[in-house]
Amino acid sequence: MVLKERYEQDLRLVGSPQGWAAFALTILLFVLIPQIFPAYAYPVALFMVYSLVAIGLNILVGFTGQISLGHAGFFAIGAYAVAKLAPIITFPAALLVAVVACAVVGYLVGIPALKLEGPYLAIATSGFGLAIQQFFANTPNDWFGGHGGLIVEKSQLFGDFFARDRAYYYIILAVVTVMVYMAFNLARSHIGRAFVAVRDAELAAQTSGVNIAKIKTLAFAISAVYAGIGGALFAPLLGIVSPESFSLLLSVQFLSMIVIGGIGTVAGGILGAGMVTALQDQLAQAGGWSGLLYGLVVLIVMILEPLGLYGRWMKIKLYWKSWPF
Amino acid sequence: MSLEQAIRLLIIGIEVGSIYALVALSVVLLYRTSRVLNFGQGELALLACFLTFTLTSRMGVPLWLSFLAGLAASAVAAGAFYFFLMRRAKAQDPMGLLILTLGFSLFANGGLSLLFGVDNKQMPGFVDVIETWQIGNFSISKNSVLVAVAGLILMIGLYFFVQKSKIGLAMRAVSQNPEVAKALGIPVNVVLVSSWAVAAILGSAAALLLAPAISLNPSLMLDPLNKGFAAAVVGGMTSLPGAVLGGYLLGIIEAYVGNFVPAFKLALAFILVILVLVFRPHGLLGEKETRRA
Repeated sequence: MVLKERYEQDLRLVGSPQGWAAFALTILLFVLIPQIFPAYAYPVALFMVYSLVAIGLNILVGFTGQISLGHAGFFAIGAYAVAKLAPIITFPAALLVAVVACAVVGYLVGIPALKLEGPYLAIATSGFGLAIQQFFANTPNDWFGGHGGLIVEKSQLFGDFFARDRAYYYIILAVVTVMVYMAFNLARSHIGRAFVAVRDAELAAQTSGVNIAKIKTLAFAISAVYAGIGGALFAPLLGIVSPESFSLLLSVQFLSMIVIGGIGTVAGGILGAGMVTALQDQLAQAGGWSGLLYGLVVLIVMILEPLGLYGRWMKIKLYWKSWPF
Repeated sequence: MSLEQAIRLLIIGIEVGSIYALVALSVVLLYRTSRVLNFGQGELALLACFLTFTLTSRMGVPLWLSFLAGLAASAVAAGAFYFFLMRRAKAQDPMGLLILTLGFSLFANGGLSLLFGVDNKQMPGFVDVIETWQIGNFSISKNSVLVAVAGLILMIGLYFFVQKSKIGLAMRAVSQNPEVAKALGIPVNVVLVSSWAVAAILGSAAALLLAPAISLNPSLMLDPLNKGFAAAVVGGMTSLPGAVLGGYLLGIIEAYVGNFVPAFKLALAFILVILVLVFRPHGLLGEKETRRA
């Protein structure tokens, strides 16, 4: 057992030499994947994109305790921002627009959400997702391509060098690494702790000086930004954005990621995104069986391990730390 | 808009509204007793539709008999899902249970698609969908009348079931306070299994009434379920009259607005939801749930 003696030790992101080793190995693995297993570069890139959305959703659902069935909407805003604007104002600027747009929309959705909870919030957010989908599908075709969507050319955005899939993989890796670091940072900051306090005891948090309205809308905005950046990276990866892909089912998948991975932890969101992406990648070959098998996995996880993969990992870790007791 | 067209749209609104109201009732009934949003409701209804279709169109069983068989099958499936999975799941928080029903929905939809195929099927109905009655120079679809009347009968039946029967009383007791109900000797498990079953019957009846007018395929209930949830939220998740009100309101508004701005129709339900929730966060007739910190 590691005995923590000072507050700074509790705040530390990586506490031990083993932690640093694991961190370095993970980064190395992700850097090397396109070189060693080129066939896996696409699913891994997709996993990284989804893990951003899962982290964002976890900040909202797991940390702050507000459910959302509408994150496909923020994901779509990010994707469309890049698809529409990147050819005009370059990719980094479009990414910035996606961030700002999602932050504003997330904040705006967060305001009515203040009054809602439980099923009301679930249905209202699912309505938001649907409204965004309908917006992109039904606006005039020369705005967002209507039902057909927009084509995103990587070579147009990044020049010939980064247009190669392998190079784009590293762009995603860089952005995701920064965002993951920021999420871990957020979790240990006073804001992250306020999120958790609001979830666990709203009244107690309020009496301790937490501004509930501010924290809840902030959680919505940050969560939306993560989903939006995910969408922004997703658009060039897939090469096309169309309204059909941002359905309620996608929001459900995002939610299932954090539940499978572990609710309320940054690592849980990443694990869940990995699990769900891997599952879908493998199940795509199963044809008609994919829906059945995917549902079965979700059922099994929920029945046997409500804390998700990360919860299971913590239990194993705790078991070995205190072994043989 | 001429008067004739206004009446025609009103009838369409009532027909669609009664489907929404039935789905919303099933959502609310379940939410009141078990505090769960069941996203698997659509698949339970699909099961009833596919069974009815197979029995009647493929095996020649009389429609009313296969209709009842379909309802019974979905009731049993819902009860079994609650009893064997929901009750025993380790994740008992609302979020975990919600995901569990989503998992069930994906699983059951995949299973039903494999078993019955994803093609469009023509569901048999009690009346021919294209037949109409002539009243003066005004024609009214027999199917619309059937759906509206059947919906009304089911709602009245539900009213007597919940208000007058012993199990209905037990359901109301459980919805008010499960702990106290248990302490007073109400068999909470029996009540919960039966509310899952009754909710499934309501949802399935809505699907069986809807299916003849459109074609039967695994995504049949996707839209009605979404609208049913919206109607339940508009009316208030804890209020049965609210669900009926929400259903009809949504159906009628959708009929009129859809006539003028068709592209707007899909998102309309949720704009209505957000409008209602901004002013009444617990729905039109719902009560604020008291919470002790």
